[in-house]
This record gives sequence, C-alpha cells and structure tokens, in this order.
Amino acid sequence: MKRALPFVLIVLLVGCGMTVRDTIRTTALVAGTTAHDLNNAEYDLYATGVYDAAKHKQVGATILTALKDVEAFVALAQAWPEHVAFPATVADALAKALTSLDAIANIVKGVPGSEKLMANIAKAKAMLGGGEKK
Amino acid sequence: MSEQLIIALLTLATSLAKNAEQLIGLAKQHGATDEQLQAVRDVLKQDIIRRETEQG
Repeated sequence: MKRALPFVLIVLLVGCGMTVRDTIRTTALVAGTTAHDLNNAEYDLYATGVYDAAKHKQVGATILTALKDVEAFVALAQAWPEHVAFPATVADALAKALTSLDAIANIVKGVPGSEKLMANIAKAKAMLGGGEKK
Repeated sequence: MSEQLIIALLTLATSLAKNAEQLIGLAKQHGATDEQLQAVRDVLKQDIIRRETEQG
C-alpha cells in the first residue's frame, strides 16, 4: 500500500487543484480530528456499559497506538517545508496512520448494529487516501 | 442493543461524516495551516496522556 499512496494522493491533488503538500497537510488535519473523535467515541461506548474495564483497556491500547501514529503523521506533515518534494517519511507515516485507523475499525466491526458506523469509517478512510476494501 | 449504545454509535457516525465534509471544504480552499495542525497535535497529545495513564 505504501507504494500506491503517492499515486493515490497525486490523483486527489489533480482533482482538487491543490499542491501535494497542501493535500497531505489537509489529510493530516482530518486524520488527527478523526482519531480524536474515535478516541472520544470509545469513552462514550464504554460509559454505556457495553463492555467491562478489561475490554476497555484492551481497546484503549489499540486506540493509543492509533493516536500516537496519527500524531506522528501530523507532526511530519506540519514540519514539511514549502517547495520541498514529498518526503518519504511523510508517506510512511501516512500509511502507518491509516493502518492504525484500520485496527480501530476492526474493533468497532464487532459491535452489533455497527454497519452504518462501518460505512462512515470506510468513507473517512477513503477520503484520507486509504481506499475502501469491499 | 441499548438505546445509549445506539446514540453513541450514531454520534460517532455523524462525527466521521463531518470530518469528510471538512476535508472537502478545506480542499476547495487551501491546505491546513501550521496553527491548525498544531492545535490538532495538542489535542492528540492530551488524548495520548490520558490513554497512557489508563494503560499504566
């Protein structure tokens, strides 16, 4: 997937008329917001009593990894200087962030009645350049 | 499934849809600014600290 990402993002760029840097930085902003929202949503789910503290800790470990990966991606996107070609480190960080968001989606998939939620996660991932697996 | 759980799931679905809308809105204008990226990093760092504390 890492090798395909630059191509996917360039297609996105052509579609929007932005520079690659602008596109990646916007993607980073949305990825960060999405990770934060998923984090909050998990606390909301836990508060409903749908699962116990042990499960919350287990799910929390996956979310913690995602938060760290996404924050690292946002940091690299923020540090990307203008007029500099797409750094490989940013592409790698983006791929890692998408993988982490996938891991959260896999957990949510197990919650009964979450089909609509999964559809929205898939949509968010597609917007972030991760494509949709069907 | 409890009513609370349904509400929580719907809230998350709405929030993710809003993110997609935000991206489209931003894409039509300019890339994210340094300030916007810093703000989201600050929020994520707080989330990370809370989760790390829970994990022990």
